Amino acid sequence: MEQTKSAVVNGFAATFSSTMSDSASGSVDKSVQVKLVLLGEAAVGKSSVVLRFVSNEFQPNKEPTIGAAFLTQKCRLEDRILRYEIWDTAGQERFHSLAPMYYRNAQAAVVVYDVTKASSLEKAKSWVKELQRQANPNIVIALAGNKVDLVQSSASSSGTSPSLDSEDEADDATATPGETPGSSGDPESLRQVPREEAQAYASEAGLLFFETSAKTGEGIVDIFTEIAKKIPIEHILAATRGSSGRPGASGNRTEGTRQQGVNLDDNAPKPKDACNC
Amino acid sequence: MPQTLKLDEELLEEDIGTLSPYPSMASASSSRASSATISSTTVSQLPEDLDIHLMMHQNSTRRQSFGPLASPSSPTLSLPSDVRPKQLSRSHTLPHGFRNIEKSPRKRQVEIEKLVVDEELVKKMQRWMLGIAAVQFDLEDGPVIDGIYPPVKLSPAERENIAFSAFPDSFQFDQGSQNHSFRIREELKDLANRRCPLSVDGFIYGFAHFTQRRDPTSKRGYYQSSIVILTYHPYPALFSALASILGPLFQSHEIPMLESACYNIATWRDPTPGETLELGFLGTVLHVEIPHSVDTQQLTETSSFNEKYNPKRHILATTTPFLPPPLLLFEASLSNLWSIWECLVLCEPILIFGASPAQTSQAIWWLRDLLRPIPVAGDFRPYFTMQDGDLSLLVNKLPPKAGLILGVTNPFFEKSCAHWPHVLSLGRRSIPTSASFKTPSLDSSAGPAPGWKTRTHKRYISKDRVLLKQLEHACRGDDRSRLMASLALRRHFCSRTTQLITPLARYLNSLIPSPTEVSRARTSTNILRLKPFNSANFFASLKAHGSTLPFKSTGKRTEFYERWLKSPAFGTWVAQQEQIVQDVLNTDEPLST
Repeated sequence: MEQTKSAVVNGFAATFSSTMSDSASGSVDKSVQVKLVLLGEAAVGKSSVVLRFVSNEFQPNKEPTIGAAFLTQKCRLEDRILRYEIWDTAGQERFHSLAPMYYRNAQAAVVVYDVTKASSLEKAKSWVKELQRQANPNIVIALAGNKVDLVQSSASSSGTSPSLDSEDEADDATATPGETPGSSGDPESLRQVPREEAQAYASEAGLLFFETSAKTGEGIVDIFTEIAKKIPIEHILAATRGSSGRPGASGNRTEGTRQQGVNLDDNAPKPKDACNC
Repeated sequence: MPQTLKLDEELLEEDIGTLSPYPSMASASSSRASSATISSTTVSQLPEDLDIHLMMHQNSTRRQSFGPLASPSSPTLSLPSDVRPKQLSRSHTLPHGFRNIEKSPRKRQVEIEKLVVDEELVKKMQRWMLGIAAVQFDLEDGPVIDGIYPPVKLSPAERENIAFSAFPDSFQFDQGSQNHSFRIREELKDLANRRCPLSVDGFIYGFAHFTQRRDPTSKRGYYQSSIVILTYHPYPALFSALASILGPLFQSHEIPMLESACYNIATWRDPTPGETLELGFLGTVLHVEIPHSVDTQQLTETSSFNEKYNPKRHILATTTPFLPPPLLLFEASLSNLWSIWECLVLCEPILIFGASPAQTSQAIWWLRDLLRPIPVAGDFRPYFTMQDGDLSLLVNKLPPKAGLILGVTNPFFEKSCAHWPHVLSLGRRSIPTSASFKTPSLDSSAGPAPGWKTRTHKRYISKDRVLLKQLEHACRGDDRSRLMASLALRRHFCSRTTQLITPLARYLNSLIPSPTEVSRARTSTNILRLKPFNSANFFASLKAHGSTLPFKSTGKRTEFYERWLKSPAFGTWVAQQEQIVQDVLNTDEPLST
């Protein structure tokens, strides 16, 4: 357990600069701004995923998010610096209709479900559908099956350090959906979403896929790293240069927010280009 | 009022989109109404079936309506005179038994009351604001606050003042929305029972987003609602931006949006003076520079955004919103701007008429900004209604108070302020209809014709004719050139104000005790302070060193400074300087000379 954690922590440190001080300062340096939104059913662990990513912390029994929390994290990918502007949205149904203002103009989305709750994958699928229909057409979507620590026996997770990108690492997946054995001591019995099922869905829908644990840190950094690799950075930079004539801040963000304060409806006409001042 | 115009709703929506070029950040008046162009667009799209008479009739069921412009908040224009009870309460203005006490609470009211109030979170929210009020036009009660979240203790008079200030008091448009702001006096009666933290200057600032749309189910024919951010921080650019983001979202999502907004604010860092912050708000990221003090000039050239200042992306908290371009407000008085600035710094009272509260508030924050680094010596009200508790205090038969700047839209004030020395009416003069500009009938307020009228003021400094030409040119140009000209205009007068201060600062420097005096005094218990200000010595210094302000003559220069030294602005400024010097002198730090 401890081993896994420190391995992840090291990976974290290598890839992501600590941005506690950066996170709230208004400085927009030469990094590429990436708007990222987290979506998913209530209580699947969205805020915990972000907290692990941004502060490398875990808090059990976090209170539900109201609206959406905003956090930032810088991340280096080869010679590029990305700066994630993360909108961690509330999963509660009463906030569902607010989601468009968070995913509008987002370059990336992490859709989270809970591997121990089959219905949460269904909700995740509906979010993916909504994103594919209404969000930025180039949006990079990652599907994250969280709480994987709950379905791992302590032996297996502390033994071999899990290599998340490895396809054949997969759990034993003896449990099939619907077939939930009673009170067996096997944590795997808690699993309601087989890895293969989610993986297959993700490939079909063109999503990045991870199983994660915000509690242990497993897979968290990987999500953001893989997203960073897939983000069309050159495209963002080009858009920035095109619209503002200035490097650094994202022009497409300007583009988007301009219409946002005005009309939430998607049929709002596209505003004209901003003037270059 | 044309009644044969066709409303094209889609056009109106598009209108909103293109006319609010800010990246979600505020325009002073988000959608239309604040600038001449914007309003004229509105006019061209007035609906065929807009029934002004019906509206008037409905207004008059409660109060007498005034003139051709029916008002959303139905101002009590039937008042016999300009003398009114100081604390006007709604209960005194309405017929006996008017209010139905049995009435069940409105839905929104109930929902806001049900919201969870976490003391810790509320404290965090209240670092930035007191709360956000949802205000509705109730058919029976008029403007009423449905609720405020987080909850704020307000006196009944304060609630009423906020409710009335949240709505335009003249007809604005058929359907649409706009931003405006106001400043109301805080009641200091029961300090013990006070909301915390306390205000700095005794005023509550309100930043409102008003929405009106047709509603066939309403007897009034319209749904009218405002969302108002109440705060002690005089940061118009920031809070107008927030209101313009929240306002439209609140109209479509109601309470969850209100909660989301407040919870976002709870996660912000402290509003620390001198900091530049990145604030996440409802899916938008705002880059905001908080000034070192309210009297610090926040210059675009020296802004701290790590890149060149961009008015569409960066917010200098204390400036007026720069969109729509403020230049348009002064289109009819461009050549008078130098006189207006002089009146401003000399603490002359100025009455400002606008077609909308959006215009008046943008203009008054603009003027207040130009005063920096001189502290505010008078009162200023970005949008002042007849329901304000200070009405009889500020508007009466006496000469208006020094430094008072009042922003009004109600034609009532034209009469009751007829004795005021200076009146600035915003917007452009009516011009013949052309292809691009339709007759701005809604644009010109019901008050005096746009332009500057002064009874007494004679200019001391010369105009900058090159700049004036640029401004005139920009008015005929596109939005970009108007914005650039507005920023150039601001720079010009910011530096004029600095130039005004320079000779005084130079003279004050000579009043600072010398290092030997300081070291001698430090061995004793004497408090070190500036030597007394001596007018004769100052004028000698002025004569010797001159001024960079382009006075028309040295005689004018002397006259100007004689007047300025008598103005309350000088008093507040010099007191502030004395304090600063005294603080430095009486620290134990060694003085660097």
